[in-house]
Amino acid sequence: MLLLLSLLAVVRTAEAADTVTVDVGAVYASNEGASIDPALGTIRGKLRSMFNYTSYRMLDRKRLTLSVGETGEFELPGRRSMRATPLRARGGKVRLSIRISDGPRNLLTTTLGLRRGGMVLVGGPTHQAGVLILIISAE
Amino acid sequence: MNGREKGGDPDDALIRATLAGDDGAFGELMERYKGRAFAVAVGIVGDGDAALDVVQDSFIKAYYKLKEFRFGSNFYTWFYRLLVNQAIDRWRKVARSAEVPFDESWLSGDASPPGAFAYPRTPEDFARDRELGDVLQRAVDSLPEYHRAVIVLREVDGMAYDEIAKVLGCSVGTVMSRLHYARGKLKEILKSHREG
Amino acid sequence: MDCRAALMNIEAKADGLLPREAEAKLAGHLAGCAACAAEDAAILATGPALRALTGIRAMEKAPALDAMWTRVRAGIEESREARRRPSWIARWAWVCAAVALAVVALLFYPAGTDRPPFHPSSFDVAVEEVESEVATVALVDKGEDLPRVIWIIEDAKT
Repeated sequence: MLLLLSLLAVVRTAEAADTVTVDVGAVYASNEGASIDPALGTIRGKLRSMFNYTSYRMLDRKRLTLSVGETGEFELPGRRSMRATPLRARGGKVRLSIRISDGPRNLLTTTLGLRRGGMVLVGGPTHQAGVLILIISAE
Repeated sequence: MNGREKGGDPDDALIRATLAGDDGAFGELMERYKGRAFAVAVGIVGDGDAALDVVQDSFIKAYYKLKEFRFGSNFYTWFYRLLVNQAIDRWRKVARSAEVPFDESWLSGDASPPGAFAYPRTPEDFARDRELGDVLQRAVDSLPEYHRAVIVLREVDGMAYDEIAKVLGCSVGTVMSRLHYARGKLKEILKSHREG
Repeated sequence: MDCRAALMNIEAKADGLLPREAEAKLAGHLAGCAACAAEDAAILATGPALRALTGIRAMEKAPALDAMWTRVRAGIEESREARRRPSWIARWAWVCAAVALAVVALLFYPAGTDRPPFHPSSFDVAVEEVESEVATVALVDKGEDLPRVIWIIEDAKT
């Protein structure tokens, strides 16, 4: 029984290591008004300290759990989209291949290495009177 | 600066008097530091009127936070932390560039030098050469806020590195690296403006 | 002393961290190297230039700075008045605001964002490669306490 439980624990750990949960929040940053969406949690202060915008509003947030090698698609505001593919990585690290498109145009292709629980921002595409800032985290 | 003017009370005494209800004591404290505070604020926000607002707001905030002040520590280090945060907040609200939030690209631009001349050392030098004043101001404005704060605290206020570290809540190593970066940017502007 | 060492010493001298012996050696190098001497002069000039620049602003605003205590005292009085408002008004205002916020949250908060707020544990990110067909991409690192940023500047907009 003990052996079975140990084996199950090992299998679950292996499964967890082979999957990555990618969380993408799409934030509309502008100078219209002066409010910061409480949904942004502890990074509100960081956004204010990093950028010159006065208003930050979360438009959408999606989360996908993907296996290594599996590509997940995130629809973004405007006609943009993001595809994320976890790649093989060691230890508690995550590697993500990311592609952000605007219709047929490739806005960005990048490969990122980060820790589980880590976060990176990708921003700049115009949206209404401001810009989009994507908050990308991986667990 | 050791917190006392000739014949004047030490900062701690003025703070105690303020906490005891003597607003005049706070006025004296304010008079002692307002010049330096303005120089630091204007170095960070770049605009005289905005700097006056920052100094005013910082002293008002300091008045109401005085009960949190730890006697024995330096008032001006404690106060400067409020001041620098107010100045940086004010700078962000001005939103000098909305499309590209951090823009240093113009630093590699083509400022046309007016001809060889000595480096500016006095306000009158800048009055004679407004172009250099504008160029240098833009260089300062383009620095990230905390790099700007470091070089202003060091070069304008003459603050020691460990004091700057306390004001900004970072390590002395971070202070040195930000100072090196900021000084490098300003140095290039001065050099390119001088070399004919 | 070669130019590379001289440049490092110039920076240290500007920070007041260069020992006297090293300063003397540096002076010897600067006497014979125009490029390093120009670098030294430019670095030494940054402090006075910055002080002169803030000096202009101070001269322009001297009268207003003289009157700073009037402004500060008025601001203190204003805040004092605001704090004197009856506490029971503040208490009920808080309760009403909390109820209104709860109603708004239940009715209007977008379902797609009803997850726990962001609580990142790390901003340590390595960008292995970056490519774009239609934009300039800037990588921004503002320190270990802030997220790394990949900023896309679409070419039509530069």
